[in-house]
Amino acid sequence: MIAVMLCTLEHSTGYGKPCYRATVLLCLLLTCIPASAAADLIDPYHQLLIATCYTCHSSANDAPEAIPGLHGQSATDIRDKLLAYKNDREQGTMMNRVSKALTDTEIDRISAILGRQE
Amino acid sequence: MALTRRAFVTSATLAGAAALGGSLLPACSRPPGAGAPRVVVIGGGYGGATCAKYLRQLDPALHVTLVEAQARYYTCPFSNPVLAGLRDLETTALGYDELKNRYGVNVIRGTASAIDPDQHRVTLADGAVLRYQRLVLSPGIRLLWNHVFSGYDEAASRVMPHAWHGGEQLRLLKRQLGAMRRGGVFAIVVPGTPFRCPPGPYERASLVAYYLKQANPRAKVLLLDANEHFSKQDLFEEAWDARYPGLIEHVPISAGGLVRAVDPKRMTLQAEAGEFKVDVANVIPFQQAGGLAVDHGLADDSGWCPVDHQTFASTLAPDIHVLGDSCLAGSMPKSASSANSQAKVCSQAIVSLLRDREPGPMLYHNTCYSLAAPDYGFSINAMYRYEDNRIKLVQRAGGLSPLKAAPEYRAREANYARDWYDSINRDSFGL
Ligand SMILES: Cc1cc2nc3c(=O)[nH]c(=O)nc-3n(C[C@H](O)[C@H](O)[C@H](O)COP(=O)(O)OP(=O)(O)OC[C@H]3O[C@@H](n4cnc5c(N)ncnc54)[C@H](O)[C@@H]3O)c2cc1C
Repeated sequence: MIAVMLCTLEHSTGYGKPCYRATVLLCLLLTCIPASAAADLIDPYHQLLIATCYTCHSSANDAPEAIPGLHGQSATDIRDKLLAYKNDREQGTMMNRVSKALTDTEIDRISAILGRQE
Repeated sequence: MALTRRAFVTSATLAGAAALGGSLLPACSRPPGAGAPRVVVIGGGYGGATCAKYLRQLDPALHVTLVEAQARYYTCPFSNPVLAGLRDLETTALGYDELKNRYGVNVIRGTASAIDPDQHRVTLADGAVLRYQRLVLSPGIRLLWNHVFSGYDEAASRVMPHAWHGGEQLRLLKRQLGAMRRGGVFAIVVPGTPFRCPPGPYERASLVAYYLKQANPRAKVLLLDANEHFSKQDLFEEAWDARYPGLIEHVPISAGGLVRAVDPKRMTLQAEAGEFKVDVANVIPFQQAGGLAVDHGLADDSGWCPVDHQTFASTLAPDIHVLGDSCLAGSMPKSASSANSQAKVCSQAIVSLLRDREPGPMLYHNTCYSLAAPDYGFSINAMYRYEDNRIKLVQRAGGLSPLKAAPEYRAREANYARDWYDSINRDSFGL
């Protein structure tokens, strides 16, 4: 399946060589995420939602101290936390306000994507 | 190029993988292919830097050029802590090496002087010509000289600094604050809205008061305001009562706070309430969109640039997008956080448009912290979605920090403010 996708990829971008590293990452994502979920996880809208987190949350392992970094947490932990904030079962300072903008489905998907990252 | 359904899905998938990869792994710095579409971004502040980075992440095949006039970018966020001596100015300087080396952005130091929308060409001051399929402008603001504040021009700003750009102006204001006579008056003149960073003048008043309380305790801060109300007002006033009672005086427009003229020689401010003789005058002038945008007909009568809210494409010129402080983005305030968020939306839209695809749903946010003291922070947040052809506030989300919160809560948000600053700098400049 990966081989097929990579072939079409060269045709689909059309205007340049695909980036090697992105290709490798695509393989990684496809190997560690159930194939059915893969397309869902990385559509542009959910990329935007993930990118939104990085304004305040570091992705790096040497994350700043007070705002937790997003990588290295499990999908379940992230999901539980976001839902707890959204439903005011947990009182944070910022995340109660942010998470209320997200649907439960969006929270599921964001958590699934972030939960994969080391 | 017509895309088959399968190719469509795959390219979206690749774009997704690349986008995530960029945040998680060093980005692909491989140069784009020869026939790659060219996007030129002008202005390497929060809007432009973020847009250039995310374009390269979303589509590593794109050729992205970033034109920035200065070698180093002094951030306005955290410039008020610099003023109060809480942080060294050099800790607020950012460069472009990471965007160049890790993200494969072609960074050019230069000033864009002419745009030719018909020919899709930008000319730089040194005569170099750049061609583009899509142009992005994030040129910040133009300060309006002699507008309402008669006598306030560039020369006057060397005596009465605005310090509304980081760097040299801030250094000057900091020197003046340090040298102010015992018991002197530090005035901040606030322009009419909209202006860059709505809570900025009041955060400045707070942190100047923090400094004065220790270094010059009989001195005063005077805010002469062209507006009646201000951002996070209740939170600021609560903090002032708690930490700096009697030290900060705010004169709203209804009490004559509107300044009509300044005199740098006599160090006077002529307000509707009367003439104020002050020791330091921080005059923040009225503003409009960045000069490059205004001079090329991209602003409307308001002085700001109307854009399509889903793509940030100018409604006045084809294939040109305008971001950040310069654009009219519904109720999004002019902040680094807004510029960063708009840039993510815009880069997504550009990647779609270059592939002849409809841009999808969009989400935006503004998350803005203010410090009233090093251990006293609070925040505002607003979340927005693209709905009914506009940027629409999500009513059930967002809001302000609570009033009457415990000191530990304020201290926690002050720490979050500092982390926010580190994170947005990493996110925007690829650090
Ligand atoms: C005191 C103060 C405190 C602030 N604090 C915060 C805060 O805590 N949080 C927050 O979110 N926001 C804050 N802001 C607001 C924030 O600084 C701005 O909203 C943000 O910088 C806007 O980004 P931008 O990309 O639109 O413009 P800018 O950051 O101004 O970037 C524009 C860039 O374009 C370049 N440029 C312009 N014209 C040309 C040209 N013709 N050719 C080449 N280059 C060009 C300029 O050199 C500049 O680097 C603060 C602002 C101030 C003044």
